[in-house]
Amino acid sequence: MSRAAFRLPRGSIGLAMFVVASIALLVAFAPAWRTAKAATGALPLAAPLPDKVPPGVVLRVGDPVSEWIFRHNGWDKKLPFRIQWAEITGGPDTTEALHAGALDVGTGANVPPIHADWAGIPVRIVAFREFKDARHKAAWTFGIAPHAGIRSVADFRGKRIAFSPSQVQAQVVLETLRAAKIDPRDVTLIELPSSIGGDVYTNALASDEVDVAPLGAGLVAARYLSKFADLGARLLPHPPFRDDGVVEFVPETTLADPGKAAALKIYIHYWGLAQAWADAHPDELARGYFVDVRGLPLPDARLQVKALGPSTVPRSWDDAIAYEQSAIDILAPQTGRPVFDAARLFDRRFETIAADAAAGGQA
Amino acid sequence: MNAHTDIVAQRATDLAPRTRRLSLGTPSRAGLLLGPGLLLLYWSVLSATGFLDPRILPAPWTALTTAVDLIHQGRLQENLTVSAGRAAAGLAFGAVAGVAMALVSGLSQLGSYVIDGLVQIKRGIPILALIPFMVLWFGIGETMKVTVIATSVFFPIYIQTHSALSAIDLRHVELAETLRLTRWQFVRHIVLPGALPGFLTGLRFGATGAWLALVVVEQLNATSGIGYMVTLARNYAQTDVMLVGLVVYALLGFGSDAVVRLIERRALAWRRTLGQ
Amino acid sequence: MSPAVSVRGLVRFFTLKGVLNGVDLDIAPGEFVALLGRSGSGKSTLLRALIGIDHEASGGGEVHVPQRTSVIFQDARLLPWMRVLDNVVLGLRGADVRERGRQALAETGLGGREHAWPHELSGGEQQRVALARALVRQPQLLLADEPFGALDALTRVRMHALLRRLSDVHDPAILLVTHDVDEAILLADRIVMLDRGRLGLDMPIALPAAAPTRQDYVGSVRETLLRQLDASPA
Repeated sequence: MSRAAFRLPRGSIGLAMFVVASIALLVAFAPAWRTAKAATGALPLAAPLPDKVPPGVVLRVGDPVSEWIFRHNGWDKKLPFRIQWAEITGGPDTTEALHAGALDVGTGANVPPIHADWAGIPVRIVAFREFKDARHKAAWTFGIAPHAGIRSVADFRGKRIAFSPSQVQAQVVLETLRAAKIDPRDVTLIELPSSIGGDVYTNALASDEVDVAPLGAGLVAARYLSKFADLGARLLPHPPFRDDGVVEFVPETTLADPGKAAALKIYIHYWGLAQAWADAHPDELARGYFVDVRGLPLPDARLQVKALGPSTVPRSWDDAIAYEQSAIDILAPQTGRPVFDAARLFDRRFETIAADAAAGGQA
Repeated sequence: MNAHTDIVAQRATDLAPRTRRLSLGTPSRAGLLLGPGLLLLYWSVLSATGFLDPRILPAPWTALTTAVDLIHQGRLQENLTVSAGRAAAGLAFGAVAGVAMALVSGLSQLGSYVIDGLVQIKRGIPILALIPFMVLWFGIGETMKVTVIATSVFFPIYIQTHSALSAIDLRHVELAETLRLTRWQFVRHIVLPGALPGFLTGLRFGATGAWLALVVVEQLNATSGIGYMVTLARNYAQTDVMLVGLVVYALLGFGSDAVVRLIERRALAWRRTLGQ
Repeated sequence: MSPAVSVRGLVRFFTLKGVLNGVDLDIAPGEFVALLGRSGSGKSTLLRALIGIDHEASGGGEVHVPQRTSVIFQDARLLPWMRVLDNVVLGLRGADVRERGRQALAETGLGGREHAWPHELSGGEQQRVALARALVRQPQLLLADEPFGALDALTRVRMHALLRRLSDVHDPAILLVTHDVDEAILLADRIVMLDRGRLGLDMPIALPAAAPTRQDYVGSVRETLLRQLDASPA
């Protein structure tokens, strides 16, 4: 190999000058060093919610069911602002979107807001709904893998359990272990985020990656059973404890923006109406959303709607806060995160908005 | 280099060129680092000056510090070993299958009709579209993951090797006939070496395909591997871990490509082409 | 003595084009025959039929060639991924094969180049390796298809001398296909010419030793041959 003198290609000097100049400019105009990203809006969290929505406000909402109900009833046209609906549901996806600043309002069970807070995204719950009969109705049940040899919760000892710390499924697992007096260190928790369709957990059970996994008590559990029962798959209810909270939650940046805060107030009012409507029209919901939008067969759609309700929007959040606190208390040691006061997660300015709407009826 | 060649080199540079050189000349290997180097430079400056929100894209040195943390925790090595193992297994199976099928298809007319026809059809279906079926047939365990990777590897290797086999110089085939070589001698001395360059090209594409497939399968239903690590990081909004995962994938891809190119240079030392 | 090569009624055609139209040819053991003809006269077809690699052609006729037949082509056809010695002994078995290969290379003047790669050799050197490869098998018949056509004049002269020397030493029957009239006269014991798919001319050659007579002889033979070539249709 010849060793000719290394000649700089044409244009090198020009490039070097450009690089130096551009870097100098960047340094000169460097923005103030950002530490914590403080909410840039003008509205403090304690101030009363504004009533007027200025023009041009857009609220990005990830709640497909509400989206359908709003559209079906024409409510989206009545709003003095625009909603940009996002096809994002479930804790993990919502957290990711919030982290990227791509979402103003998310929906999920009670754990995602806790998880978001622990992940460094300050959020507030602005709406809460629960089962009318939380004592006797469970939102989650356990799927048991075909050859796991599990007859009761006591048999969980030493088994592999699917665990998703950012979702309520994790709380269900931990509460079950506590009720059965099994130390979490006596089981193998397999960290595996679940998906909204339930695919991930049912596949994991069927492929013998885990022995136990929490499944949605409606369609997901029913399908798991119908697909794999002949292989020996079964379902196992969890011990009696509450597992039914569903929330709408927002990042604090949304609340700090006065335009968005005002829009949110109106949105939550309609959200309350939507909950009452869904309760009163289960069949319409089944056909219009789960069949027409999600493509499910009608019997499946009805089953899923039945599993989601009947629900209610409580006017007081005391129970909700207590429930949330119990979630924080049981998840914190397992995930190595600090315990904090659950009340911090709730923006009580919204406490009665949805409930009044649901009780009152029309817009 | 001796004094004479130095003098010659000196004289060569003293001459002013009489005709303008239009072609680019042989690139220096170090020169290829300029682009990535500039990228790294601007990235660092943007991070240091605060233009870049660390939650959206962490500074490059964060990748290092996070990687060190992960190594301390053992998570990086654990997941890396699993990922590399899957990729290696998939690559091995896919390459063996690809070569075997290419040989059968290249050396037998009937084989060519059957196999080549099937391959050309399957070529049009992206592997990622087959994944839902792979899940149904193979579950979500290691078997499925390695199979998906092997399938991604199989196609470029088969296609390149088969193509090289078809292009085997007819004159060499005639030579084999005149020398009355046995079928085995023919395959060993003429077919295989003739197909080797094509196979190695296919191997380079196959390695790329392996990493691509690996990334995908590790984000679905995985409980180990770099992709799993990144999925968890997405859940916890840990952009720095996500970055480490990306860098690891990049290094693996780049590294495997470099290894194959090294093999190419050794195995094809007899070639005297312009690229050397 | 029975002929080394015996061809009777050889017919070859490709789709619509008839190329060989009933060729009869005998070559005695140790005889050096040169085959002349215009381009397209079927010289290569005949040779390929003798080698037995004309799978694409149709036709008929009888061909007998000896068991040990070697071939050299116009291009040396060395396998680029094998070193010179490996090329020479390709396909041979036996304990002393490599030693024989070395000797063959030495005979062709390439002693010491056993470990070179083919691409490091010049055209003439590559053709010498091909010769060594052909001769190491101790052929009873050597078929050569315009082996020196691609070489420059000076190299060609050297190759002629080499071929003559080797044929004296090893004494195979040789069929040399060439378009070079002078080459044919210089090397062959006998010259045959293909004309309209058959062998037209069949002329024994006896080169006189003394220089002036040799010049005249060569000149008159050349004239005859060229006239014959000229007369046959394209």
